[in-house]
Amino acid sequence: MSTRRSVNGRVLVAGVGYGEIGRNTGRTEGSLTTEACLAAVEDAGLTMADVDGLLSYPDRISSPFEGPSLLYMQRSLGLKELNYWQASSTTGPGQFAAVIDGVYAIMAGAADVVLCYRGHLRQSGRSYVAGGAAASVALDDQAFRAPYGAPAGAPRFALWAQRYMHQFGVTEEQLGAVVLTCRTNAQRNPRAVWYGHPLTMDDYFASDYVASPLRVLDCDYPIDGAVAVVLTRSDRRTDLRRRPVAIESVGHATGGGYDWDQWDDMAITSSAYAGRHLWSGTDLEPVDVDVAEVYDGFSTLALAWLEDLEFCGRGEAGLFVQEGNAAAGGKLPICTDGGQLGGGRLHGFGKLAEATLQLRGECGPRQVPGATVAVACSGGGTNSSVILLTSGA
Amino acid sequence: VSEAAWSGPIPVSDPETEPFWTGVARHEIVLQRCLSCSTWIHRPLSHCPNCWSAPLAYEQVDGFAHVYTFSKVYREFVPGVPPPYVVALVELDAQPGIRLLTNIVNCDFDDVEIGLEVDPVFRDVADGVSLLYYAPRRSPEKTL
Repeated sequence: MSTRRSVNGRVLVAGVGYGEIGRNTGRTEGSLTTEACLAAVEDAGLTMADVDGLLSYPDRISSPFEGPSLLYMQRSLGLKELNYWQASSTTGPGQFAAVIDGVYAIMAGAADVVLCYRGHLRQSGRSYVAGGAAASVALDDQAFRAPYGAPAGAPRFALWAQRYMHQFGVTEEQLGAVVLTCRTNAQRNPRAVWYGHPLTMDDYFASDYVASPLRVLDCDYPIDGAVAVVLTRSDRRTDLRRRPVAIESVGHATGGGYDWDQWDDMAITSSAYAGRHLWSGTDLEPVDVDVAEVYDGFSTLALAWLEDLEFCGRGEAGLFVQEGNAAAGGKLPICTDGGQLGGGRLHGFGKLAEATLQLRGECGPRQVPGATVAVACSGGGTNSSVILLTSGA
Repeated sequence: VSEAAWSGPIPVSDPETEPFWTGVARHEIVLQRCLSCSTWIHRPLSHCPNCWSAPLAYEQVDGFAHVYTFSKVYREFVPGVPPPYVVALVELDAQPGIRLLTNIVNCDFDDVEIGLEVDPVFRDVADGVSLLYYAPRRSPEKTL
């Protein structure tokens, strides 16, 4: 990585915004995402006229995951002239692909103020197989997956989880500890979908398996929601309303094989490579991190991130969480907003927003006291990316 | 074994994968192999990812394998593939590192574990189309 040009605070998170979050808002994904984008630009103290970059994860047409198209959003936000615009595909470094694209666009001078968003509906009717319920054929890679009932999603991550738990002796109770940590945190965040609904370990073990070893409660809760983030150059600092948060490093490298069913070592995921890449771009170290918004689309991914960012040793994350180190007030609080297991699926963008709010000290009852360094993670499996943030204090 | 008609997705081949799927239809396992460096390749590609040679050859293998990882699935993820079922990645004994995504059949779910030795089992799902499943070794049934 000797030729790598690190971020080192040259790009700021200027503002963050949420759209309505709920089990069934009855609204379009474009409506939720527009709301989030307006809130983020307002939070930054900028106007839509300042925005010259627009980045989406992913575009509606690139993926079975819903989300407003880039063109809908450009029109909805009245963005007449953009210097840089792009929709990430789902084949790339995780949900933060759009944010990392924005970071590099700003570093390259391609844009000054970049708006990045993720918005989606609950996706209850989503199908991984082209043609959905009417499908009678499986094409390309899905020819090898769909007939076996493992197109993507929980069965895919369950195969990873089983191998990981087998290799390191991770227990189901330790997965439960991740779920309970997140659910407890959700009780301090009114925005969380499970706010007001605490959980016990008995509840966890009463939860049905979706795809063993993953239970219903090991899978993040699908919701309607949207989050937007505004990025800008560090020399725009004085134009901003809030004390901005600086991006210190990004990690998005991968490795391990061609594709998930041919991944070299399924006891680790691509977050191992992203983690190494992150630390190669900074003088900060894991011990400097005050709050870790690890990705928890599945409970096992949160454990992988704790190990892959070197907060604990390989195979030790289950015990780390079980002993309370990742809880509020612990050695390294994770998923402080409830995460996706407690708060609902915001596909990583919620991680970046919460990390930003933590470093601005705006998290009220769930604030990690004195937090100055945070990580926000997205993805797992073959697609991961991570962002290291500082309060710039 | 009497089975309800298959209503799940039918795998469609392309020029690279066609030898694999026509092999499965004959109840054989045919894998891609590089003529230059002998690397086994799955799923099929156009060029060898080890030495970038082309074209690639296809060779029949015995398919004996062991379970690398697995999951018991209790929800429907694909129309026509009703739960419960066991999805697994099995690693071929004679081609280390080559893994096939499959279902483990003809078994008690509780007997499936990492390392379990398994043999190929074929299920004819449409005219000229079969799926490659696996079953615990010594299973008397070689078709489903």
